[in-house]
Amino acid sequence: MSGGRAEDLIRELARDLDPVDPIPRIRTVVAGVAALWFAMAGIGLTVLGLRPDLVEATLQVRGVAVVFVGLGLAGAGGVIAALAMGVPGREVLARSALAVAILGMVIAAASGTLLFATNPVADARVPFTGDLACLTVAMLVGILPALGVVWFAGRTVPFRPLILVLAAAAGTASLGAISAHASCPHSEMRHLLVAHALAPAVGVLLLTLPLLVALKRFRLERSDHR
Amino acid sequence: MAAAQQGDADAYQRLLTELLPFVSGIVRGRTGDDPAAEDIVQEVLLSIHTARYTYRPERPVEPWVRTIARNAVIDWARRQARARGRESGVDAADLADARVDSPSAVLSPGVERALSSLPEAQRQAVVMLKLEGLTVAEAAERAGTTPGALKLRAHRGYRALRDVLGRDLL
Repeated sequence: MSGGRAEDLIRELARDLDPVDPIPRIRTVVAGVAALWFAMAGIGLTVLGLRPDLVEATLQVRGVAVVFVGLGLAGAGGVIAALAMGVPGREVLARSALAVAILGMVIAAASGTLLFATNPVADARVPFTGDLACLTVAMLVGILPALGVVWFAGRTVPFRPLILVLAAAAGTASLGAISAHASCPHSEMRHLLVAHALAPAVGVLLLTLPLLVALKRFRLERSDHR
Repeated sequence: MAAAQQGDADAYQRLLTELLPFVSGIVRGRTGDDPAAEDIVQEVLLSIHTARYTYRPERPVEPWVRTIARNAVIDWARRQARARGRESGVDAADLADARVDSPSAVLSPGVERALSSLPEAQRQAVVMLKLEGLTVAEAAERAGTTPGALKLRAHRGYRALRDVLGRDLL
């Protein structure tokens, strides 16, 4: 048994004890991240305007709605997984949310691919700049919620920071892609696949490194305050 | 735990004492009769201490502790694997040469002053781990203390040095 040495350490730790504030509840942080997302999406829609036929364009072809259901699952799952991953004792929540996020990404990508494969490319093909514009909006809308997620993660004890950051990047890029869709004027299926359904993958490519750096910085700041 | 988060040292000491068999059980369940089990138990106690703010009072404490213990065992196993990898590629004589005989020989005057301002136990821990390159176990043995307590001293020492020198130096 650990015996006296462990008990010596316990006495020393008790002597070292300072009061600490517990981290906020995960559901509170989820609400905060959602508020950031709404705020960024609101700014985006104010600048770019809402697509007038948004409901028709989304529901007219069943697969289009499925893409956005997938993105919604990827967004919610990725954010919740990233928030739960650093909190000891919340592994079940983290794993379940991660599974939902992966499922959502697969649904979005598969539906997008299927729509692209089964619908002929329109004459008025969306130019590359159109794809780039939607991806940029998705990333810009997603970056602040992503920083919110990573800020919280910096206050926790993430055991696998890379997986946490991947989940955060994919999740918040998915949320950004949903916002981009609301102002996107294009209905072409190739554009839907490249600039909307695959936005989580683009988010992973673009946001992972900056978010890892931010996580490191937030953790360093946190350790300075302890 | 909620009382400990508010700074109640007695409640904290009672809690850790009550958790000790639980933690030992988890660690020994994963390490078997490995002699390092006792050190890992102390690392878990230290991790509980540094991560105590991540506990939410409305949630049960055991899953929280179990995760911290499991992660400590995995960390230990990874360190063991890395150490085995290093040992296989490095000659023991090279290791001895790499250690610094006189720490002051490689320090700037500012760092030396900051180090000398630390309490002796913290200074000794920082010097042994960061300058002499000893392992935690070796340093603890030389200091006549436990690896967990030595880590705690080094942790306090790093914090104090960081306050004096700025974080970029560490």
